[in-house]
Amino acid sequence: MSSLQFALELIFTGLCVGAVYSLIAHGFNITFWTTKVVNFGHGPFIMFCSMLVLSFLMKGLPWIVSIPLGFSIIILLGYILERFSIRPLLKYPTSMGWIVSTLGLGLFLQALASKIWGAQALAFPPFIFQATDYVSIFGIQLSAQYLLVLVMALVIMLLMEVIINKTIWGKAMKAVAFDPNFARVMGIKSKMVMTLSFMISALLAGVAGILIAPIYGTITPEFGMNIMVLGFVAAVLGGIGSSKGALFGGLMLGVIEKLVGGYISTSAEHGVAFLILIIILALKPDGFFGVKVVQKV
Amino acid sequence: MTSSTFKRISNSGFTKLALFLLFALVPFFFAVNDVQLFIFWGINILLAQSINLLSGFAGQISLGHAAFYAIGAYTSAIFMTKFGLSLVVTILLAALLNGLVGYLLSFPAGRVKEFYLAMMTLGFGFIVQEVAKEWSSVTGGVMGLSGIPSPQLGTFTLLGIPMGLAYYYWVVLVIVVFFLWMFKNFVQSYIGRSFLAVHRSELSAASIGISPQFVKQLAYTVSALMAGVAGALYAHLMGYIGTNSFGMMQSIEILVMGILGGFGTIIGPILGAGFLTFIPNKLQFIQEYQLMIYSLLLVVSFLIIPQGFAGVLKLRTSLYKNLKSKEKSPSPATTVVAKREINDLDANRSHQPILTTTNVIKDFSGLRALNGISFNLYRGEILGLIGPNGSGKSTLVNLISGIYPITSGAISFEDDDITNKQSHLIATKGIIRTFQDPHNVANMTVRENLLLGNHRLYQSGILSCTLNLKRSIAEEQEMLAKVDQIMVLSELAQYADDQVGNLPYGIQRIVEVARAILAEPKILLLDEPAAGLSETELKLLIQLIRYVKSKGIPVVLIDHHMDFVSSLVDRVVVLDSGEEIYTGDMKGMKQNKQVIEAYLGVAKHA
Repeated sequence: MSSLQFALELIFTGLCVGAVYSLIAHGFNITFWTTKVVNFGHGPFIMFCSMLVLSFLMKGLPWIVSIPLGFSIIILLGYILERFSIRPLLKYPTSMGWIVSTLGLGLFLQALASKIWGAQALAFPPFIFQATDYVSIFGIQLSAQYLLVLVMALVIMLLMEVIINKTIWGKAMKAVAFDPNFARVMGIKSKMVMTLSFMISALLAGVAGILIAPIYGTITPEFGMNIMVLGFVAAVLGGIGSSKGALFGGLMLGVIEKLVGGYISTSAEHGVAFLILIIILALKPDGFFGVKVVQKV
Repeated sequence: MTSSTFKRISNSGFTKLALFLLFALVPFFFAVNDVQLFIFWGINILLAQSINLLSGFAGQISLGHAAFYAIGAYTSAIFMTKFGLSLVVTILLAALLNGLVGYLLSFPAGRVKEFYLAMMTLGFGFIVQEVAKEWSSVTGGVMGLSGIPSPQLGTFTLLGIPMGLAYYYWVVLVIVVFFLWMFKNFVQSYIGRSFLAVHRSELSAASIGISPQFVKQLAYTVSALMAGVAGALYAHLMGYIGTNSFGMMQSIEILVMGILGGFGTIIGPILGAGFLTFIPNKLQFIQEYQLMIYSLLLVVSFLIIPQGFAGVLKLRTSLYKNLKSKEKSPSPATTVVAKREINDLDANRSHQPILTTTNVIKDFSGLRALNGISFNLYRGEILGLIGPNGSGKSTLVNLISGIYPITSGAISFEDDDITNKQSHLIATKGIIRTFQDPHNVANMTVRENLLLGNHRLYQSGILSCTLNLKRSIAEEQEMLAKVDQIMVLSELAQYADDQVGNLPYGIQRIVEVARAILAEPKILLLDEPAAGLSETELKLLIQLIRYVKSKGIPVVLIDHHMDFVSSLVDRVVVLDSGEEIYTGDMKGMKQNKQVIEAYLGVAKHA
């Protein structure tokens, strides 16, 4: 029984971490829909938001103020990213420009974070629950903090799904994703929708940041880049551009990672993710739920 | 001083020798710290050229280049400390092992593009650093490897001679100069040009017989090999290596050197490497904000100086070897012409088809674009392929040239079945096509683009091109002569050294057709070559197509310009909604009911 319990606990932790990967993958998807761009600075955005919230907390501000403040700043950064690192570079035929430019902005945030808060790890306080709070389900002890993260991530994804499919903004976004010029002809402000998509994407990065930070316990300026690649693996696993894929890919990656960590070695956890990335890109670049893109001549 | 005189001076052997001697004197005039910096410059040049080859030339972005650097450093250090091998051997081992890793990486990496590739290489960088951290029995883990023989510590010997920093500097200098020489030869050969063609478009590269897969394999292998040598040189300079030296920031630094210096040139990355070596070291405040400055450089460099320092200084690297002054072959132009003029004219027209499509069907997820097309192309004829928009003309050409797979049916060329063969293999056989919009390489000159056409005729090996062996140079001269001849014929000589992207649309089309002719095709497929041409350009195009016909080369011509088509073709095949509705001469076509209906909608109005 204890070995089963161990496995179940690993799977549960994997699902919680994986839910955050799904959120990151969603962040990639949103900008991919509107502009075919993914933000290579997404990781540092995740890190920066958690750092901001932490520093507000340390200034004595309550959670209820710190979090919205952190989110506002990260949304503003999303706006800046789109205006300066993406829009001017979309006109070039190659993607190298915006890849390098978004990466540059991300790295700048990372360097800025080490300048302001130092390069060492900072403790991130538990959110709502204490680290020692447990819920017992089917005889296994589940950390309340983890459970909260899982539930919140799922709720946010559900909310997004509703917004995109049911509201007029969601439909406008879909129209822009289909063809920005056509959407413009139909009276949709394509450029604004694009900018908005980057702001939402940045917000999702921020949410992922403050959800994952209590799980990690400590945060460093570097942690964002690493987790970004994990989120990207999740997105690729499910198929870039697919919401279902992002959810599925994230959860699956989280579980695989934790199982590998539990049964083989914790140091192999992230290595496995990169290996999955290389294998999936080589064998099935469209992922499990992605749509095959037809090459145009 | 004009740029051409500058070029002449910088290209002369004397200048190069003087520069080399000047650099060789560095240890006599500079302090130890500065000599070390010069060595770093050399190492960084190798790194910058390594990423230049992969990203700048072949267009494969790499965000994990420090991984190759690390593998080179660890390999060389481990072989020297554990097995006592000499630097000569360990560098070779580092280069070979890295080449192998690069070659293996090219298989998954070759299958993805753009940001997928960027993420994959980012992940590759993390993996290698992770392995170096965890595999502590070999790499020393997070503690790193120390005690590597180093000239700085006086523990370094080469071939039994103890070596100080100055000696090490000379070793590095010789290696760097040797690599730069080989690099220059390489990028100025047909192989180097094929890298840029793949960079521009894999599709169009394949259409002239370049295998994108091969180019990527070669690019990864050679790029990794160069970074490996750099890593080995670094390990022995420092005497200690730790995983922190090979993290993501190192990868970014390598990328910045390339981008800032100017991708796709030789001088650019040298300048970029120098900038990033000397500036942070000499200006203390930069050191403190180094990471922020590098990242800001990444953000702005593409916006402000997309071509880097080399672009600002207008230092373009030409992509062919112009050694005419040395190798005066007895006017190759005339001999080539003479050889080709022999087989001429309508004598070649026969009733034996060179290309046959049998019942070709193509479905695009439910939509049938072509429904059972069967036609023959005979030697020496020009076949017009016409029909309204969306009738399947271009699709047919795309099937013949192997761009789309065929749903069912067969295509045979001469006696071979070429159904669903890879695009570049079909081109290598001699079926050459042009596209509806010109697919030249915009940042190459007209001459270089035309040389690309010759790609399938080159036979020199990679090593022969890299070491400038006599045979490869003679071959290059022969191809240049062919290019000159076609440039005269297509009135492009005046644009020979202009970059194609800067020329008017019509000229670009002519360049593409001329490029296809230079491939000495056995069949030429022209997809709407006349679209958007002016009257004079159209006349030129007709002249070129007639020239092709005079060589006995059959042509499939798609166009909507009826006067143009009827002035050239021998026969026409008319398609409508994926069906073949008429095959025969122009005259019969004009009276054919079905054709009239297809074009005008209602038959009785005709």
